[in-house]
Amino acid sequence: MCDAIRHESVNLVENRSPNRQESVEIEPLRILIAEDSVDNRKLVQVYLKGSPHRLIFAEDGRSAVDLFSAGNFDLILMDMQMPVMDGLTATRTIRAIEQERHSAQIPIIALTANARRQDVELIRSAGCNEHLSKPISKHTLLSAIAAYGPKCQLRWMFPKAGLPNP
Amino acid sequence: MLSGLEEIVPGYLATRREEIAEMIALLSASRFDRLASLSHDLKGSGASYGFPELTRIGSALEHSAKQMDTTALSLQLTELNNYVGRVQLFANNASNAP
Repeated sequence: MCDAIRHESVNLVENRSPNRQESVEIEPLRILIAEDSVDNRKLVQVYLKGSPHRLIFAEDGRSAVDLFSAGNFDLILMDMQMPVMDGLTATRTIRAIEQERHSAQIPIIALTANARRQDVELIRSAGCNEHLSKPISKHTLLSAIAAYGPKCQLRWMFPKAGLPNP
Repeated sequence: MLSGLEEIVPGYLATRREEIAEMIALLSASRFDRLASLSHDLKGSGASYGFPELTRIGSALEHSAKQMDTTALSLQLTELNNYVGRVQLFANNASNAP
């Protein structure tokens, strides 16, 4: 976890009604996104536009492993079908690096257009915490990020859900 | 239109037009692996951009490419070309409307 970024909180002013303003504090995440498709990279950028998260893109599994090894990330979104190194191999490699370093496991969310039961079993056994089936909606992506990020993000993403104050 | 996608949908459709030409060439060259890969990406992106029909056609194309079914691929590529052409025409008319 990158402490410098972790502790850098961001205040968003949310307008719920003309007479009411609330300040919601959210924590930015460093998110590594391994995705070879330009279209899907653009989509993630649009989905997360306006969020404070920092997005770092890798175009194949090998690059994702290299970036992971060299940097500090809070979350990885991992496409499964990529050139050079696929998502399953990249995930296994990252888990092996963590084991070698005796470091905590980073959450890895698999992105896949193949979500048959056997595919999901492979994804889980490789070390992914979660999988999202493509095509992915904005709501699905934001919910998954919220589930693996700080709980207070829920207040930013679902302001009308009536969540209790932290 | 889906929120926030307006800026990237035109580019997405333009890329599909170019990609269809590439897919037809791949079919002629019997490069089924690359054809399956492009179809897989189409399946995974279409509905996110607001075009579930592209996801459906992409899924069918991927299946046919894995089966090396040239007859089905030819029909599905024609269907894809027609669909993207219709969407593009609609988009052009909408942008030229007073």
